Amino acid sequence: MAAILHKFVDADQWEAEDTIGRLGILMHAAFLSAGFETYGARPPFGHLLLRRACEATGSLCLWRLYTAPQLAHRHGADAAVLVVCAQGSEIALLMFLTAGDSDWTIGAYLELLHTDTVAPLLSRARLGDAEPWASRVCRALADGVCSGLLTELCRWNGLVVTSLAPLPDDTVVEILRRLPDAEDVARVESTCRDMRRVVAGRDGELWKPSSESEEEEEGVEVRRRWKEKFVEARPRRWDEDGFFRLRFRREFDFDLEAYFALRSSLRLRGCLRDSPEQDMVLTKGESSGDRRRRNVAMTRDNHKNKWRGAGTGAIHSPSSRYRWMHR
Amino acid sequence: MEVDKGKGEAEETRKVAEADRDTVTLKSSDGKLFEVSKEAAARLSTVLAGMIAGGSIDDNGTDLKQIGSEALENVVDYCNKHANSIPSAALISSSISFNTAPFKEPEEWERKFVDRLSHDALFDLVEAANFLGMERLLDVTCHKISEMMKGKSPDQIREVFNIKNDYTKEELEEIRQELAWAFYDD
Repeated sequence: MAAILHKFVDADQWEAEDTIGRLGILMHAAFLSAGFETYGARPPFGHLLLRRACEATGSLCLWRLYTAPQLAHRHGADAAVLVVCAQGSEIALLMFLTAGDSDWTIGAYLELLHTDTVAPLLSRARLGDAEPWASRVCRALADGVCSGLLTELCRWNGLVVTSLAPLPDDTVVEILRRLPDAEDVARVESTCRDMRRVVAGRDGELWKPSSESEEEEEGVEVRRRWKEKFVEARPRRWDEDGFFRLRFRREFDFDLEAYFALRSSLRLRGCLRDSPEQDMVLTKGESSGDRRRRNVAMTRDNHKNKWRGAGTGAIHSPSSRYRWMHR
Repeated sequence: MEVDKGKGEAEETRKVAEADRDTVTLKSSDGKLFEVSKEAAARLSTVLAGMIAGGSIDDNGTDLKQIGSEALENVVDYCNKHANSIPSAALISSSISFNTAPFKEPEEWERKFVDRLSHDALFDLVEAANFLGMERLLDVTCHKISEMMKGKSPDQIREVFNIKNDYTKEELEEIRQELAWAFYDD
């Protein structure tokens, strides 16, 4: 299996982190590998995750937001949240969506680890020494829980999983030819390189006005200018040059610190302590000190419209999933 | 020689029997079988018309390995609905495209047919229509997708059609300047 970690992490970033930081890096790479994009607040230069340490309790919280590429430009888009929380020898991994019509905790993925479990792999100073196992873990997480979260995020937002890319150019052109306005074609053209290539390659079909006769077309040079001719000939609006604006991706100023003040790490740890023992299973082939939930919580009982699986029912959530947006 | 002759006769008989049937059986990539009227298949799909004329239709199900069962079910559904529909008099689009000759507007039932599809099913159907050479179905599905693009900003189009913005900042700036006229209300 090809090592995928190096696509998302460089050796210096790996070496600069301790065991918990490297676990965070592994999770971060799994999210990106699954097709997520980072979203919202950015970590300090040189780091991949944001962090908050509490000296009084000795706890450390690493976190970051991710969303589907199609939603990355939105302000306040639905997102997936990754939290790695460590205190003493216990590590909690928490992943959940801010999307959906039910309480976020119901679909959350929670895994409890012991430092003894992760140390043999993640304490190796060099990234190369941790391979290929680190990439295997990363791939398993990407194909499992992260991919499930992304699919669910897309589903909640009505996004297509397929795209225009696999369609033959002829079909894409047929779609574009049916657009009523030239502005629509230009906007599609500006979405990505492939669309620009298709539009540029079919200049005559897309931009040539129906009133122009075939006889006016003289060779390749003229054919290439249909779009320019169209732009020159089109009626102009008085304000279009002065007020041109293109919406760029805006930073989503999500203050997770305040968000977690609602359900502090104390509460999270309380949840870990209070979890009924019968819900926890020993993971096959791993240290007996490592308690974890058995499954990824990305399945849904359609008839009940509820999440099923490793729900974190013991975590008490506020009534609103979007509380931070209304502060 | 006699055996070959016998085989040839059997083949001939099978072809005659197939020619007498009113339907053709199509097999999706995942092995599901669908029956469709031979007349409708030949009229709506240039590829199936060629296969019927050439006698390459398999009685046990003609393999269409490029088309999944959901898309093929929609293709057959469209053929059946088309056979039962009454063509409307208003054939030419009232909303003429800015650059070309007007297209034939979808009929009311055709609109309803594509409106009920999920985005993914619609894309699969476009590909199936393209593969089978179904000009009218391609027309209807392309019209629907163009309606989904109409009036949207580049970001919204990327969002709806799962397009990744792979431009560099410099390229994006260049496009902003070149296509400024298209973004005045963005």
